Amino acid sequence: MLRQNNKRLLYLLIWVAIGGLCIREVPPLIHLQSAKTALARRELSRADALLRRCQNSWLCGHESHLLSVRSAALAGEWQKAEALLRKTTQTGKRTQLEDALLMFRSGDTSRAETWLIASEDLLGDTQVVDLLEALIDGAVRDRDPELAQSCLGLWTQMTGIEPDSGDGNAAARSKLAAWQGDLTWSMADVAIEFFRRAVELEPRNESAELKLAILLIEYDCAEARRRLRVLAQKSPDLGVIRLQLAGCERELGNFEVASQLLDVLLKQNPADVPVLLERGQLSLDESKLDEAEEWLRKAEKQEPGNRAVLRSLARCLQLAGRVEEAAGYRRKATP
Amino acid sequence: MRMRQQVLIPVAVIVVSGLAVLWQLRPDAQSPAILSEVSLRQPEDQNDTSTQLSQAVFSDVTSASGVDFRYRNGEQAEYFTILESLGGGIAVLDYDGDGLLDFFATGGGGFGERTDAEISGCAGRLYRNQGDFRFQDVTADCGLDTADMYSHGALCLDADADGWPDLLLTGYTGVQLYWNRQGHFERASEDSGLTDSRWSTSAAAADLWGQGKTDLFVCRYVDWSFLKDPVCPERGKSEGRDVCAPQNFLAVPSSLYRFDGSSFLDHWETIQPVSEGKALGVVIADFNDDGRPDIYVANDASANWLFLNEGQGGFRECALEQGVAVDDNGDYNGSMGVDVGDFDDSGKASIWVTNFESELPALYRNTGSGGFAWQTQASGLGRLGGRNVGFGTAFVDFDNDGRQDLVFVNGHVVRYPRGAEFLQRPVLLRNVEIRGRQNFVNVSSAAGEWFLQPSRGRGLAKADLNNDGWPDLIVSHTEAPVTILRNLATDSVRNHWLGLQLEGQNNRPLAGATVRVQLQDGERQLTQFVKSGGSYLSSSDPRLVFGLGEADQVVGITVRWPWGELQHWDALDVDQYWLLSEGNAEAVPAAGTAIRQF
Repeated sequence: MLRQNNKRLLYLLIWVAIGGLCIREVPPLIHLQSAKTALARRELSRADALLRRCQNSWLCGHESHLLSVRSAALAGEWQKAEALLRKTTQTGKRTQLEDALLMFRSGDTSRAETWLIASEDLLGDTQVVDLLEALIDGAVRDRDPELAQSCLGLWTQMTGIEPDSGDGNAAARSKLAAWQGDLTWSMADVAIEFFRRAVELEPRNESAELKLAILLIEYDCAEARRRLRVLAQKSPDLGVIRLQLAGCERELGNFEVASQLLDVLLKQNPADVPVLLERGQLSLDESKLDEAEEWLRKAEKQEPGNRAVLRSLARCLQLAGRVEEAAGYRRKATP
Repeated sequence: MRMRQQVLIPVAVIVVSGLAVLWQLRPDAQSPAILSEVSLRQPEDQNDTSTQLSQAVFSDVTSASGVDFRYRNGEQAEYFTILESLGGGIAVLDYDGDGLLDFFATGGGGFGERTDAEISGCAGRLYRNQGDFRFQDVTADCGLDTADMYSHGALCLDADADGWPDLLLTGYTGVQLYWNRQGHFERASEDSGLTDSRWSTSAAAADLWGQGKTDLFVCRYVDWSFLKDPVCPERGKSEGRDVCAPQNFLAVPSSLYRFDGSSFLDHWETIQPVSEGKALGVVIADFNDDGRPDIYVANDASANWLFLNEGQGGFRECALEQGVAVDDNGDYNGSMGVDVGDFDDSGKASIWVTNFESELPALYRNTGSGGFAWQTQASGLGRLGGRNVGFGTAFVDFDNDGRQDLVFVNGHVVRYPRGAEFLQRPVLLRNVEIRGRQNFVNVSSAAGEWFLQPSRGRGLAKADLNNDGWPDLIVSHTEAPVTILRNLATDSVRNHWLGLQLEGQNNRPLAGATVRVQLQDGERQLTQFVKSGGSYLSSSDPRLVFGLGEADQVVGITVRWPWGELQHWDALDVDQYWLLSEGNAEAVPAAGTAIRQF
């Protein structure tokens, strides 16, 4: 009787353990899959939210951590991506790959060839595609259109997706359109069309929508602001969106709103140069010259060679009647 | 019983696990609202009905005016030359001295075979004002029916100081000066010195050397000919053909002519701009309040110039240090039209520039000691966005409320633009005070039907065509009719005005003079700047009209004539034009007298 009771208890424990394991590990596995899909279509806010839910999983915690690195890199948050990568406890091929993807995406494509040659033997097709995507992103960032085009050629071969073709999944075609936008960035009018197409094909491609909004600031600030606000709601922590939104509000003459947005950012990181610069320019537009100089000096302290900062300082000093100092800064700002 | 237990327990565990998994997989709660911490109240004042118009202020009266003329650019030849992108202008002048402003519209040109020899001109038109917005074509009668230059701009000036307004035309093969011999025009001979055949665009005239003579600044554009005519694909494509951007061509130095009374001599070599420029627009006025005429030049795809007059023929190009060369990002713009005005009651000359697509128009506020401050966003002009390719423009107080409003016309220069429309709407901006700052509110949609029609606007001239004290407009379009817009604001607004016609000693040029009108209340002082050039390829009414708002008296007028002398007049009756002559203490009613050019 006792033995039978023990056996029953054992069964119960096994079932409870199985149940517990299911409760703990099945959702992260499902979230991880969804996060991969979200990352593939560059829906970064959703990917981040899903990855956060996987991080304590025994089965997929490491993978989710690595994908968080990728997500941060795709959002252009390089410091965060590197910090996350440094926290990785495990080593191995998968970590090395993520390290390479981060390196390429940040614009360091010097080892591209080595990796591409090795990838034939070491990586599966999906990972090669990941590698190519990181290389295209990095080449665009590094202003190396030749490398970007050749990687794009390999990518289209592997995915079978051609420009101007209606075939293939929408997310991949959206990415392709966004890269075409990246490659024509200096021709803003043309790039806007590509990014618009990217967003039409995959409305969840937040990376493309952010770039579209940035370009639109020059053309139609009201539309840019609408898009940036939606993005800001989705990714509350992404500083770059707030910064662009602040720029947009300044463009529209809403100086108070711009100032509040920038103050929040500066509270988070008082040494952020683009934010300090924008804050300085805002003060300049408001004709608050002392305040503008203070912000711009802080930016200059962080990055003494930043030409945009030097130009704004020159403008500020000129307006303050400090003509000679202004001339010195203008000279420094001239390439 | 045991059997049932053995089945029920795992089922229960699985159901509970499943529910737990589903709970885990529930969608995210709504992200915290990032912007909740930031006040998102927009300055709704922009939509405040008090800033909007109660009824249309400009009416297109062209069809009943007898004016039927269009600027031709030769695009039908399908050569896609940059020459066809510039368009034409309007010069307003009282050529016959009857006290009504007439106008000249440039004709442009066309192409035969693809050689420079086959670039031809189209004659412009001189229209005589018959009153009540009726005009008569007097081109042939007045000797202006010549078509030997592909033309762009027209400047009215009195180069020989005989009191009769002369006409300077600009175009692909240089400039042509026509002397006005009491209503009939005679082409100046080569002895005038104006023989330089480089491509010229806008021009302005003033006594730049301080010797009482009419000196000239002529903008010159780029070094283009059919021998230097690259094939440029459609924007963003590797095929097709479109008009090439100015970046494909070298800049041509502009001209600074000194007039010795019989001929003009180019002194360009004596002034050294910081950078080269592809000049399209120019205005001469006193920008630094020293009594001397200075020169501001709007350059396409290159930094703008400001030549401050240092006297005795010395000019210092200092646009960069004065803050008027580039935009707020330190980038140069594609600048076309330009004007000068006191939009903020500061008494100082601020500069307004229309720019290319993806750039904002530039409002450079004159701060006095520190040069100029970029004021575009701070004046609400960022709301315009970068979809306009702006050309002819003017500060114009269309409702005579004493605030300088703005008008500008737009239209693309390439056939297949990507980021903006080929045909674009004109824009009327009303100057209003919002929370202590002068803002420009876009009132185009209610300004009149013409403002809803997209076109390729180019030259624009401001003129009071019926001498009622309310500024009208004349606009040149590329390959579309010239438009005459009658100001109807007087029907809905009961504001007063004061019109001033200045006359220098011996008809000397007056650009560079500054006029200040003190209003009755003793508080507000209105300032206007006598200028030459401005807008784009055009020249406007030489008279100054001060909108006075509800003030029905002015207590005094002060004129600082160019090169320094101050002269004061006491109270004058409002709602009429007065003639103020240099050295004459008495103001004379100007109704019916010839409108002098300077």
